[in-house]
Amino acid sequence: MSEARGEPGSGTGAGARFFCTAGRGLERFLMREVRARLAATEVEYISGKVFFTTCSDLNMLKKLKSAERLFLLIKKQFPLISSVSKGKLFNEMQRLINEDPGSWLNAISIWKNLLELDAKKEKLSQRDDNQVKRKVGENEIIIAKKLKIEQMQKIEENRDCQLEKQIEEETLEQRDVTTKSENFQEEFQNDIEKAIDTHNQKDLTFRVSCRCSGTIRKAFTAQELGKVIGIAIMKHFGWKADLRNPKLEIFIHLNDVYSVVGIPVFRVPLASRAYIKTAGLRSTIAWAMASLADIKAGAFVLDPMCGLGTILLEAAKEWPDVYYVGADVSDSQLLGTWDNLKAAGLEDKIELLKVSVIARCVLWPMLYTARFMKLPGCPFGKSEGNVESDGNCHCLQKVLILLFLTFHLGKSLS
Amino acid sequence: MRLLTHNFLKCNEENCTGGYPLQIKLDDTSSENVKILEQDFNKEFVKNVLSKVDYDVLYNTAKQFGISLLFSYTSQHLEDEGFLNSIHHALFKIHIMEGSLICPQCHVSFPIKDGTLIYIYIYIYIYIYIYF
Repeated sequence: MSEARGEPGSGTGAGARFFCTAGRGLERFLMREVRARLAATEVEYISGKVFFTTCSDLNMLKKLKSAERLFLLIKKQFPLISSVSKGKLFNEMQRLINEDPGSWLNAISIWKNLLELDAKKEKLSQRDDNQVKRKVGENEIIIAKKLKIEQMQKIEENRDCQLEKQIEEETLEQRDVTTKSENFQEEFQNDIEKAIDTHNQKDLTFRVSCRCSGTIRKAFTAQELGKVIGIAIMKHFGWKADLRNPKLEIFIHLNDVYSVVGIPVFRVPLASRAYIKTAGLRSTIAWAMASLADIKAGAFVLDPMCGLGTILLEAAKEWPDVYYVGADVSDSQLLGTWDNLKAAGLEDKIELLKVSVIARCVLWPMLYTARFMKLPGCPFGKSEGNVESDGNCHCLQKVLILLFLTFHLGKSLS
Repeated sequence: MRLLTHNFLKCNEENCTGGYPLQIKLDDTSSENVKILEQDFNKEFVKNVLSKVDYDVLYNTAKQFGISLLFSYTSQHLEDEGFLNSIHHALFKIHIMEGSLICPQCHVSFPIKDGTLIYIYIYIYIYIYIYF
């Protein structure tokens, strides 16, 4: 478990403060998930972002399923007023950076701690995992790579780029699935190298990604603002800017409601999953939909229009002891699903059928007001349900499904 | 297609009543029409599934594949690993690759090609509750 150092500006005691970006409508799912999976406290959300405090390590953070990207929070404050002159605005932004260097350095040290802890665990577990899971040939390549990486950690920064190219070449020769999961691991390893290599704070290279929306966007471009911030950081902390391959990336989002500064924890967004080969529906939405079905162990779950099977894949990873059946009318989609299942190793859990779907609507008058039904914030209402229904009906949700279905089925049934 | 799926399928032609269970007819012309694939055995899962399947249908179908299950079982058998293993084998491990399912009433056939069943219609019933 990682801990935050007790420096001024951390403000949260035993945990670190993070925030996640999430698609509109998925914030409620993300809040629920963060409380359940990471035992997070001080959870709050603004449109598109969820802020929380947790002590979890990188492994648990990697498992978040409804978030797009994860960041360490440096600063969150009131929005910058864009109606003033340029000079005043730039001063405001410089104040953002200069005001509280403690919080910057604190966040960077937390980030390094997280990555170092993860590196140690990876080394320990992968030596065992490799022998059990993978075949001998790939085993050797992986061990050789790991040795190379360990050697590289002792050599200067310049050689890092070359190593990455070598690793990329090698991974191209391997199979798709292992390539993808290894690429993610390479990204993590590269992050770790870079974190460990910065013994001296002055060696840190950085890049600023600035996003603007709302009124500030009309007045200034994101590039302008990014430049101003970059210069202010260089002056204040003495780091160098590197646009191609920075060690540290700083993410700033300015809009009418807030100004947020953070460090992305992973280079790869959480929404791209290692186990989904070809994505159909966005993985975060697929997970959110699967979570709405309230799947319990021993249930049967049918997805009558599964497409590439994204919802079933997400569900099968999260709730494994369940019998899943996927169905689709199109052969090519079913072939795609089969490929995806093989790539994820889940062919024994999910059965595929080729079907055409007819929806019949039954109007059922209820003569008494039943319990209060919460309307889920799920943006798409695709039909999906348990074969063994338990009589619980989310009325408004089903109405949305009906509306969507009449539209969807009218188009695709031939 | 597994026998577990077969247990839940009935003929969905209009005006066909009693089209359950569908008869399995294996395709003798192809070389590998039944495959046995390994699957991890999960005791609780098998017990859960067993409570939901129609056991007589399962018994008859398994007989067709040369697997003799117990004719009926009691709650004592639910604790017996051997019994659960045989159920697991029958339900999950047998995959029908080539063949067809034929309705006993109207004789409509649903082909199984390359392990995937082509089943003409699935009906989804959407219940809209109106609150007064």
